[in-house]
Amino acid sequence: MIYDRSFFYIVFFIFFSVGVMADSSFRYRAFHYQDLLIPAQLDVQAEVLFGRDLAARILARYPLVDDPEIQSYVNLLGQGIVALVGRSDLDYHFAVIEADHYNAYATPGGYIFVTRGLVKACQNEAQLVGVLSHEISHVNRKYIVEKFNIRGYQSSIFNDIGIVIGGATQTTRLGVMTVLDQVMEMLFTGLDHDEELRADRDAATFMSLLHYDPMCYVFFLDQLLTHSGSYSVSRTHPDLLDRELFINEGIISTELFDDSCSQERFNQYVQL
Amino acid sequence: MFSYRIILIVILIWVISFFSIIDANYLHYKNTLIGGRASTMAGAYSAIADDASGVYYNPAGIIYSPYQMGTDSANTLSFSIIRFDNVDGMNDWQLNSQSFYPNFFALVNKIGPDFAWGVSYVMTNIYNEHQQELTPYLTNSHREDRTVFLGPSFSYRISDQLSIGLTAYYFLRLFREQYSQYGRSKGELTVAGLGSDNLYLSDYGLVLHGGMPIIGMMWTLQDKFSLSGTVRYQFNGTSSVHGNRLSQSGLDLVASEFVDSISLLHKQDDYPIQLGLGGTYFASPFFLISADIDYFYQLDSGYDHVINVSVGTEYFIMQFQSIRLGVFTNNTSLKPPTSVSKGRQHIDLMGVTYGYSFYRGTTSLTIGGQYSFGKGVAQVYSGDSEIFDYYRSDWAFILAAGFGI
Repeated sequence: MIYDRSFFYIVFFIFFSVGVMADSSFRYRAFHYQDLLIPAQLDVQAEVLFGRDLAARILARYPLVDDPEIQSYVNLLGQGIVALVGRSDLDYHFAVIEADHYNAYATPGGYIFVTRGLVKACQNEAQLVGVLSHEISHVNRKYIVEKFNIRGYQSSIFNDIGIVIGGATQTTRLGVMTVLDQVMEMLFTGLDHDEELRADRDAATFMSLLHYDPMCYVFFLDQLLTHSGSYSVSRTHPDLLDRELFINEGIISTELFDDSCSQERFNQYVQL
Repeated sequence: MFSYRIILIVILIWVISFFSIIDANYLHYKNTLIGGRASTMAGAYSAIADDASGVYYNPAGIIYSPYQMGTDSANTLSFSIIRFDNVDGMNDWQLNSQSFYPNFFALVNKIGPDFAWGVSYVMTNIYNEHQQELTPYLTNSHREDRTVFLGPSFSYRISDQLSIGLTAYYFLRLFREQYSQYGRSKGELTVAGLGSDNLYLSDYGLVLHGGMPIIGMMWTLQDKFSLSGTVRYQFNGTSSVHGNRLSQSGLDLVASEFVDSISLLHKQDDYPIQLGLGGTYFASPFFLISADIDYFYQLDSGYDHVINVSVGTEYFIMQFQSIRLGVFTNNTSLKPPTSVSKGRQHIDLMGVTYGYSFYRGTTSLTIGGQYSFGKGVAQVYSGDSEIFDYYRSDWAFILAAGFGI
């Protein structure tokens, strides 16, 4: 009799207590949605939305520099680079933010920020192109996307975390907020050193392809080495010797411009 | 001379054995998969069941249809080859069946958020065989066997996680066999009266009425997981059987003659109770994977309990195009032949399914196929215990359409 009653309680519990959600929208198939994208596109969309959230957090901390000319110049340089080496599935955005320390940040989805201090520290266009190329490499390599498994939908039953673009559950949203906090912290304390070195190597390659002198970038890094401000490049990035090693690996043989550092044009636009 | 005698014996015994062959087909429970989307997922559909096909697989699921009203229909072109090896010491015996039928139509309609009803027509068993042979006798045969289910369905959502459903089917089974055989020896073979002129005519028919309720439940276990349970039981109501047989043999067909009427045709009186469990993981709007396990509990000890398993998956290669794959088993409830049994056939089948659907708005078009195969053993001569190898392969091509508003 006791056994029978226990059995009843177990069955009752299973049937009426364990179910967790009222929404049966998970049953909808792709064709039920009007504008649903294919999984790869969904992943990119999730990446962009995630990166946009991160960009908003960065801008909340550091506003844009109120100088349309410098913003336009940096954007033009950035767009010139991604026209050659950018991902075709992204629209890149570049901006100078109001911060005196020397650093640059790239969020997933192609949002790239350079601090006023860093731009001011640059002595020529090639150095700034080197910095932008380094950040573009982070975006292209999807370091944060892969590390935090940012997906449009759970593309595998083995994934524990996914970002649902529409109709996300509260649990999922909380998970996304937690990941945003973690990535924000990572941006300001530094990515994995190996990732930084790979980005340097890519930057040298991009500069070579664009006929800038990669050595200008090396000189710039050397110059930054002595800087000791908070959130500075020297604190969040590997040692210069390691970086030079990887930059040399990335240099490919191309013909350089006469003014391969573009000193003159840089001076024309950058007057911070 | 001797071979003619053997062949004559074989042919005469074949005539008697045909019915058990047909029954062997009938006593598999997944001969024809139902629905467009469902059939191309090997019928692993009871935990999905959220469209019109749900009325057959699990009526509890139709409340989850995304449409106020939805229909599903399917046409099936099927082929079957059954081959018994070396039945007379020299030759194989092969039976071929072809059929093309609109074998499924269902409509479901939701009334409010918690109640839905539907009505459906399902043809689960289709066998249609014609044979003409000229050597050594002129032989013509025609056999057909169809089972049709027709009935309403209801679904009610008890809570956010749980729904229940009922389908109440009336079924009709129509079986017919006509067989004629004529051989003339021109007086050359007279041993024991065999091998002489021979005439054999037979005509059998069965009309069987009955019912089959299907009770189902659908349980949303977790976000993206659903489980299902179904119970179904088929029972016979009234039946009518007719049969006539004429046999004449001897030189110029005058040596012997008999005419009789068949009053009883073998059929299963107690069908099994079918218990089904299903689970589906809806990984994303693009991908799902589903599995069903069906257990057939036999009330008649003359048959074996059966377990069938099916697994299916659906993947949207683009937003409006999906592909599906499935595997399933189709095991028999007939007991294996033994050294003392007679007229038994035992074959377990395994199958694969595949399908492609194209969607435009709320309309879908599905093309797909099913292939199953197996090797078993059979006692071809109903009066003899000799066991022969037995092969069967089935193909089916499915054309289906769905619509929702």
